[in-house]
Amino acid sequence: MNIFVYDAYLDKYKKTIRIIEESLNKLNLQGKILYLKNIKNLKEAITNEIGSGAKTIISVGNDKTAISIINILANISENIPMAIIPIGSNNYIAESIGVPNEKEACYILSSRRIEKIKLIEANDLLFINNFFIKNKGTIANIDNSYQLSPQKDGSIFVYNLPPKKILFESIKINPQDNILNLCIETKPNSKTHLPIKSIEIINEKEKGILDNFTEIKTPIRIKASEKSISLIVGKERAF
Amino acid sequence: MFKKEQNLNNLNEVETIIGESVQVKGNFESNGNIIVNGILDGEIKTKGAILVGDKAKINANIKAEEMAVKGKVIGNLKINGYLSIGGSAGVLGDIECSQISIEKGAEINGNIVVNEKNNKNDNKISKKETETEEDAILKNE
Repeated sequence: MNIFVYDAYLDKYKKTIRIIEESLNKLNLQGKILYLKNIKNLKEAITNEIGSGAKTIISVGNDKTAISIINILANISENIPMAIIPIGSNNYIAESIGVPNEKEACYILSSRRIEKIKLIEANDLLFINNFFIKNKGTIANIDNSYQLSPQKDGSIFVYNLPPKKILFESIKINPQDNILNLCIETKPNSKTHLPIKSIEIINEKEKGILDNFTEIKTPIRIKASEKSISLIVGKERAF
Repeated sequence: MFKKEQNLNNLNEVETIIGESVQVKGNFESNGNIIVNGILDGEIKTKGAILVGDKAKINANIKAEEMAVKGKVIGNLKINGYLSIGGSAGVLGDIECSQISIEKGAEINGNIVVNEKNNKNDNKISKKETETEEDAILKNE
């Protein structure tokens, strides 16, 4: 059975939701809907549905919706695939896994192409897409062997999923190779890329941001986690 | 030689790029090709090639398969294959490689040893291949 988790902000997208539901009906992909606005404990709700035979959990919303479901599925013993139906903005995870919009998402769910993606640990938190911090005052200790310090203002990213914007023509980012990608952009147009296994980030003033939502204080230790998630991906994914 | 130089200056498969505004300190190891345009202090080892850009400042001993230098390097270079030193380069340290080209204007201060061991190996391989072809012709006859 499919379990659709609808984010609370979807009330603004009634027409879009109606079109999606029609598409899902045509594709015979109906299922049960969990409305986040009515649920106090999502972990408990999803675990109960899996116990009752749920075969796929579908995030209907944005990255924030998807991340909260990923954190639940990564911490249970059952390997339940997850799909994303992106609605509105802030859907970078869906973009990276080849799900460009809500209409395509229904066909991708129907095709059921599953890829296992390793998650990344940042202290005791998990993330799937990227980590960001401002350059200013940041020191990065990498793989316990060298230290890196940007000399100008800009941004530091650690990518697990490849971003939509191509940073370097010759470098491919793959979330299945156990390698993290450290990218530093400094003004006016200097770019750095390093394939790394682990990194410690120190910045006394700035906080880091995980998956564009979660703030995290430094020092932050980032490395590939043993935990992973099975995602239903599109043909046009960037890896 | 010209083709090798072209390949080194346009590395297609780059694993690591150190940009102009970045400083790296420590022991840096890689399996692939590296482009350095920033500042690097420590040691560099790679199984691939290194391209040192004209704005780069490196203070490190370097071991690599091939290398092209356009910037400043203080340290010893141990290159298995071909080393290209551009006109804007400055190298303060000893150099060991199996093939070298030095452009007019380059500054080098150190001993240079060009060991042709690898070239001889190349010759051996091509001779062996020729023998195999001859063998095949004889067999067909």
